[in-house]
Amino acid sequence: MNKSKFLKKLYRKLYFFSKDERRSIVDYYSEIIDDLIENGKSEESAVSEFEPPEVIASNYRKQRKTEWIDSGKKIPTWFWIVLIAGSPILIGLLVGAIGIVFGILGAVLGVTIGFTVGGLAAAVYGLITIFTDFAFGLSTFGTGLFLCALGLLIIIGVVTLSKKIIAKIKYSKEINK
Amino acid sequence: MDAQLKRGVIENCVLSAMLKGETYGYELIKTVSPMIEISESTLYPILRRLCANGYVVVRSAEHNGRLRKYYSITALGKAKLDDFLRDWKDVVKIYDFILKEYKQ
Repeated sequence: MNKSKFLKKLYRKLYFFSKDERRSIVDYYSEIIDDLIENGKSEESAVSEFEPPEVIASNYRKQRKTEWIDSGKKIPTWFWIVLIAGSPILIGLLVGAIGIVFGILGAVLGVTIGFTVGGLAAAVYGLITIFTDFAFGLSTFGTGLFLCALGLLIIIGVVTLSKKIIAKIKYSKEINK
Repeated sequence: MDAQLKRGVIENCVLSAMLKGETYGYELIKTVSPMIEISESTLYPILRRLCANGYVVVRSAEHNGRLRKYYSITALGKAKLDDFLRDWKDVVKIYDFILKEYKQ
């Protein structure tokens, strides 16, 4: 592992400390790595002098409870007051937000199914009437096909996008392990 | 060695390594490690605590185009070392007594 990768990982694993403490720990390791390099070590072997970032972080976490000065990340009191006092409104807002998301999803689903099924029906109807009224039949057939294709495109688009999002989430979980 | 005892001993070792003048992390480890087993990861919380309690002060200064933290002992830190040395005289007396009784 190189220096920057090691320090980044260490910073991430120290999430339970305050921002200042995290910076201070990372600066400390950065300085010692630089000093090791200055004394003839390669970057890689300087980094390999230490335990892996997750081990350092978990040791510090255990020590913090007994002998550390920093009490870690502090959640300000006002946050709890706002959370408790505002809970009726906040819960209402949350339910509202969930409602909006489902509403939009439902609308997209409805429009897509409408396009696909309706378009297909129109195309079939146009094909039947093309023999009695050529102009009307042809235009209905064309419009129907177009709408059906549009519906299918939206379905394909949504499926591909969801796959990508799911893959991204899985990937970021993998990285954070 | 008992963890509590080791912690106290390392703290005082680190303090005494600053008696000759200000020093920095890497040098501290080199000075102290022949005496007592210490790693970079054990040194950080100790320095952190010594600074928070006013036994040590720290300043950042440029070295080869980067910042390095230099630690120096305060009067309070020296008083702490005095206490440690005095306490250990008693501990040694008690040790001798225990050893004598044990051998009989």
